[in-house]
Amino acid sequence: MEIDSDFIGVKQAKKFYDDFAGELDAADEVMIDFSRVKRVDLSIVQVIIAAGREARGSGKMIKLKGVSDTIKKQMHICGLKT
Amino acid sequence: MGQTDILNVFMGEAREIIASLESDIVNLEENPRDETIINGVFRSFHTLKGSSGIVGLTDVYEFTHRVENLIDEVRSGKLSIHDALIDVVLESIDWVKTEIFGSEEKKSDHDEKRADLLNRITHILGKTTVTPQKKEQEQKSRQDIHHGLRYYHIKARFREDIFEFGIDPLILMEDLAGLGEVIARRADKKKLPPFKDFDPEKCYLGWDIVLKSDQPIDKIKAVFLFVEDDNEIDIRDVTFDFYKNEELDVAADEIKIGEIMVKKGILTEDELEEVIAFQDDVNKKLGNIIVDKGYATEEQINDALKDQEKLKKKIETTTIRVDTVKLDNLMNLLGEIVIGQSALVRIAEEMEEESGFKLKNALYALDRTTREFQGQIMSIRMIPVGPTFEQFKRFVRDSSHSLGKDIRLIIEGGETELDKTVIEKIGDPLKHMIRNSIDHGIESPRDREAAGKSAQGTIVLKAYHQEGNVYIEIIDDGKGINVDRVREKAIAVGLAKPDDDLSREKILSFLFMPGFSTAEKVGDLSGRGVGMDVVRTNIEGLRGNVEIRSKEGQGTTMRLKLPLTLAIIDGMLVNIGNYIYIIPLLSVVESIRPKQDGIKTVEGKGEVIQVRGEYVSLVRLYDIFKIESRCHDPWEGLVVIVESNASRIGLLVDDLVGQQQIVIKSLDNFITASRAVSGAAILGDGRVALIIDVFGLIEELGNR
Repeated sequence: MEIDSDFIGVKQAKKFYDDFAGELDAADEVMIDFSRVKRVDLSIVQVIIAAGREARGSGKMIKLKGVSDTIKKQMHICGLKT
Repeated sequence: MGQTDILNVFMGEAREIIASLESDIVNLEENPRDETIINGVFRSFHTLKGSSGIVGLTDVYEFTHRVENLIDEVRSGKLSIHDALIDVVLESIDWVKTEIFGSEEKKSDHDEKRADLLNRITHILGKTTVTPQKKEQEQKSRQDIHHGLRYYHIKARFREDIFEFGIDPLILMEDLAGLGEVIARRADKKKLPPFKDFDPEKCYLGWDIVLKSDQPIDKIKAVFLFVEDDNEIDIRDVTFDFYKNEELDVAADEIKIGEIMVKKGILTEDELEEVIAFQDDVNKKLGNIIVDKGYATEEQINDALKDQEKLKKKIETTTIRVDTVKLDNLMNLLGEIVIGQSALVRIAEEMEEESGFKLKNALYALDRTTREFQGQIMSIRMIPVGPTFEQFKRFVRDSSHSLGKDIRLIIEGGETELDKTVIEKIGDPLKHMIRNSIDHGIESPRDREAAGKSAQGTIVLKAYHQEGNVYIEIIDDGKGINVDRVREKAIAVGLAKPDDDLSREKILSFLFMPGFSTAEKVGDLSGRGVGMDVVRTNIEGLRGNVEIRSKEGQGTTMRLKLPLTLAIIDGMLVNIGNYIYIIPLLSVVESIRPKQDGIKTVEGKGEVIQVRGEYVSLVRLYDIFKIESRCHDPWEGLVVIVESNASRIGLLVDDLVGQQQIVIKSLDNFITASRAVSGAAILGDGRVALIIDVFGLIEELGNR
């Protein structure tokens, strides 16, 4: 799953969530490419956290690629271990 | 909180810590292996160190740091408790007391004392060195203090629709992190729903953060300026707590159920860790996860939840410091209510029967509420006597050592509560009475053994409630008082005549007279005869009394009787002419209508009245107060027999009006200098009634 924007936030959160859910349904492993993204907002991090729980619960895996330092710090603030 | 406020808080806290330390050190001397006491002493020094640093008392900080090191060595088993250590710690506490509270004059040899104490501590510590890691930690925290760094606990919970307002809570958290160092952070994910139920446009996360920052709290609050009104934002300066607890748990207001389960032995630490990690992944309560995994039963979880509730209540029940002036104002207002009630009762009595009856019933119900209200206010002012008593442990230790005696102080009933004002004022009288016991009561170890007693003497300081009063007893197992010697001295100084028939209690009461002392020599502590009369005056000033009982060879008991409160008494209202006077019910023995032949005149004593075979001095109150009376002959009026300090007199009044609760109003000295009056009260009809001070009256009569 690729994100083609340097910022994603609440306005894109619904689409992000729907795409994520679709990918998670279709495969046992989901890869999200954050290479072009410089930062996100809380709505996106929340989706990632919830998706992570769902994946673990059903034995699936989520991988994040090209995560910037900024986004790593943001995830760390939200208690997400990267 | 301004700097002055912080300093005031520190001073109050330091006083409490120092008082507790003195008592603990003396206890430690008696129980040198008691780890609870050792840990308590260490924590006290640690807190004192941290707090003094925060308010900028660097000398105190560095000094207590050294003492803390000493105690740490005891705590780790590298040093044992011994006399030199106890002495240096107690003297160190004295140095800290002088440094924090002492005047400039008292600090004249302060630096030499400090150097001496530090040398002795170094000597005791020997070659014990501080590890490099510890040193670094200490340097860091010292720097923190010097740079004015503070610790803030921030709790942030946001409304679900916050994104609609264009606010990203994550930015707020990033801004917050920019103001200092995040010591601890926990993202609260409890509200996060399962993925299939998830609404990506809602906010589910909250945070609990501990931030170390050199910024004032206003700067921290400013981060949340635009969200604080509609969201749950709580920011507290927890710098003091941080130094007390060393580590501040992010969710400091929660006792976690998992910890309770581990403490009870139902879960192991590893199992708890596993469950918590699992909880992070699934949106389930910890208790449910524990049951699902088979680590505990539902019943065990429910019991733990009940324990958690109890602990939460304990944590939530915080104490607050209340200005006693505010409490006094509350009592005054209550007093006005009591007066208003009395007025309404009078009106009810003048009303026609049915309405008057209804009003009286309503007033009785109101009276019950008022009394309960009064009880609640009084209870706020009530504090246990224990901490006051504990302070005497050090005094007994030091005083007995200086006299070469071995005496221990046992405290009983420390949980007994007394009005704060009374507690503050009984300290000195109690100290003097204990001093007397040490100096004149308890014998030297050699004399005690010769008398078949143990070498160590005992003083018991005991407090208890009885019939609406508080009793405090100082009981020693010393040599007791030689009543014959007291009687001889009383005769010698003219307080009694050789042929006077004096009861034992009366003879012992002479010990409270000014200048009276049967001590063979004046000691360092007492024997000058200037103490016990002041003791009695102080106690009587608190509307209490003190009596002595003694058995030669066995010991002496001094018993103080004190009212629960100084503000309200039960009073007997009496009529003298057009005036109402109030006699405190505590002083009243009985009231009688004497027969004519029961009144006699005795040379040197004046008029006396016979009461149950005993002759009691008759006091014509109209004469004392220079007012008109209806009854000049005692058999036409009423004689109220009152007692104070083992002395009884009969007060002639016209009639008895009634009995009621009285709210005492103080009288300034320019209104009356008479010791026969202790205050006044406003009655229901608005009249002012003077309250008779029985002790003062007896004293005044004695001086005539």
